[in-house]
Amino acid sequence: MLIRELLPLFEDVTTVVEVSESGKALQEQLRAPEAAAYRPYAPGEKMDAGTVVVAFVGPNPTAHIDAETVAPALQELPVGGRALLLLGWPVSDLPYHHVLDKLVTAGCQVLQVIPLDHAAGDRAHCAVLAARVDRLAPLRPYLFDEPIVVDGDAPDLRALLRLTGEKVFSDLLDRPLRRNLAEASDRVSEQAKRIRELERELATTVAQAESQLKRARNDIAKLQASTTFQVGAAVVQGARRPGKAIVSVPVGLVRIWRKRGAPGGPAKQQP
Amino acid sequence: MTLRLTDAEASKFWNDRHLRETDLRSGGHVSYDEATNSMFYLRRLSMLMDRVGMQSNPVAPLYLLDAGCGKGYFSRELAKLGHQVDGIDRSEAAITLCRELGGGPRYHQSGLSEWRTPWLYDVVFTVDVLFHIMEDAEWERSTRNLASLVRLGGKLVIGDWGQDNDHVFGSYQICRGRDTYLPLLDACGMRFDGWEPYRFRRSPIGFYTFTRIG
Repeated sequence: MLIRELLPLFEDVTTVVEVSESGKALQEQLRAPEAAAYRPYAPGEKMDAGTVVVAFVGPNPTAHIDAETVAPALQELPVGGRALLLLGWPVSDLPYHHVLDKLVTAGCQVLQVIPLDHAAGDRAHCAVLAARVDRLAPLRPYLFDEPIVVDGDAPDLRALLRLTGEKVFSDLLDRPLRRNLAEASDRVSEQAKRIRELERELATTVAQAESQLKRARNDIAKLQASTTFQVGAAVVQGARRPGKAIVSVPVGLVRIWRKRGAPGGPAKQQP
Repeated sequence: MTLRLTDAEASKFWNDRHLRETDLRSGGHVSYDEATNSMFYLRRLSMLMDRVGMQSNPVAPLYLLDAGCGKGYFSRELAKLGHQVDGIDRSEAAITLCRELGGGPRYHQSGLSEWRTPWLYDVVFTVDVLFHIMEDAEWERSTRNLASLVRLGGKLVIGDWGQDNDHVFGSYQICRGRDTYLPLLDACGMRFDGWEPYRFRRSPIGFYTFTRIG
């Protein structure tokens, strides 16, 4: 869901109260209706049932406020008032306990939590839609995008039995999953550590091999430049073509003698 | 009296049909040509989208069950929309082909009454499958099982006709009506949201939609 699709889920919005200080950022992204007043939160300023409290809540102090900061505004909401909190943590790693604490303490029911498309930078990954209630509001399915009805029929006993039953069973099923996830995460960390060690070992081995190769190349170059090698090469060449050897071997030897001491010429024999 | 296929005979009939017929005709309407079946599938897909909703999210997707998925057309198309889809079918031939085609869904060879999973679904749908279950007891087991797989607030979508009564067509089709579906699913905690016809040619079939409320 897009951020601009969120506010229309709330009907009869007369005032939007922003607790975070985002400048115009949040107001523009929400595309608040022109008929609704948009103002910053001021402690003690009266809010009515048409009010929606909005805020970026998350881990980055330059972009978000923390849950403690939004709590007073939630507590001032009258019954029927609503809250729209844009959370800055990735959904897969959402520490929701802080926000949930504040909402429950303020008498707010979480109506829906919606992951956001194209998470606005890292500023908002999901949105919590909540309402101050004095009885349970109707339950909403996941990703449902019809307008929210807060004062509709409360869930009956059968629905609550189903809800608590699903909660209890999913709580049970979450446990082995959580354990598997933790074990998998540990294995991944261990493997990443081992990969880094292997990379270091490999880099050392490659450096040693390159050094040996360099030394071997130097040795070959010295050998090939030595008088012994060049005289030997001239003689071998002569032995391969005996017909030409009468000329080529002496000429070769003279050439070696002339180039003695010149760069690239035959090296002086080591004693 | 028309001779009805037994459950085992029906399974064999459908497996053979999936082996014999083209992709859309085997699970669609055997009297339609491929082009007409394409229209028929698109029509029903569009109606399913209305019921599943126009929202999806790759991080936290919707979970869907395509019960009696045949060769997997609806499973694949809904997976393309970002949903996580499980497709089940009793036909080995159909499931083998589904797995070869891939496309995202996870497929399992299972009858509708036998499918077991620790995870509930946001939407369970069964397109023109239940009226091919000729044994009433198996039909009821299947319907109850599919309903039990729907989470609170989730939907059960069933393709069948919208008349009040039941009616047998030939040896391999028995349409059940509102008087059969509504009491059974009400007892399962499902609210009847409505029945909408396909409005395709002269088809009397449409989608029942139920929401789990308890």
